[in-house]
Amino acid sequence: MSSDEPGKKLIEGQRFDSPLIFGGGVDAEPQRYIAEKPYELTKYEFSVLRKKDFPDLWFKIFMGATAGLVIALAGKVIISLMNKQGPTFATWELCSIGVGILLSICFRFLIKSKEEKERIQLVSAIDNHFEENKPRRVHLTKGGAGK
Amino acid sequence: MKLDNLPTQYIPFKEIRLGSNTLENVTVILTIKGNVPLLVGNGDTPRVWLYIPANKDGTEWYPLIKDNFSSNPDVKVNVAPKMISIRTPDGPVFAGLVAKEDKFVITKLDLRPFGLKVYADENSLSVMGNTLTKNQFRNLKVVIGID
Repeated sequence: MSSDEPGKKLIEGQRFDSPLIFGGGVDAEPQRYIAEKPYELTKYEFSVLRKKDFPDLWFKIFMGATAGLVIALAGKVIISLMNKQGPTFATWELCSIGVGILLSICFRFLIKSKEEKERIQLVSAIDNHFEENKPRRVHLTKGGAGK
Repeated sequence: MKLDNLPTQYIPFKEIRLGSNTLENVTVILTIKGNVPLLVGNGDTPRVWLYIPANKDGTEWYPLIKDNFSSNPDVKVNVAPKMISIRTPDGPVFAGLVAKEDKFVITKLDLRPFGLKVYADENSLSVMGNTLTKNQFRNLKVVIGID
């Protein structure tokens, strides 16, 4: 490293107790690193995003239980086939799977808590923000036009 | 990021070594027209904040790395308990290691991909064409200001 440029200094072995000030500024816009205008998330908005959703929890419980039942029945079918017999299912087993699927669909798509509605609204607002604030310049791609 | 609005999680190292220069008890290394582009803080791991200019006037800044989290998928932050490095498609722009509990050595700094004429290796620091080696800066809020 040298400071051969005219008007530039080599500063060596000195002690400073006040800031060193140089003239200058931004040389070029770093286009490829600049993405869209960041969304300014408030603390409240952050708390909305972090909230746990109860219908989602119930969806996972019912879906898990139903999947467990299906796996158990699959095991039953395999054992029956190994014994060269036709598999037989109790009515309650088939009903449980049906009810499990129905409840899972309800909790996944039909029942929305107040928190979930608020979260969807916020996600949509953030989405709109990024739609309206498209990348200000060419950016982000490796070897992109920004260089 | 403005000098009077630094992140609350930011804890400066007591001593930083940058291009053979010693910075003792300083808050920030560099300001550009009142904006702080780089912060290197202490914690369980070294912590870095990197803001880059979004326009040539240096009035708008973009948070590229916030507390070791990169907002650009092409910019990777590698963190270990005692070291940190930042890679971009233009090559490494920052690397450093914790030498002692409260001493950090910056082994590589290159802000040129972001349009700032600031770079350093282990021997010297270059700011706007001026070269600094083996200097001492003590008890300062800002080491180098660019105006």
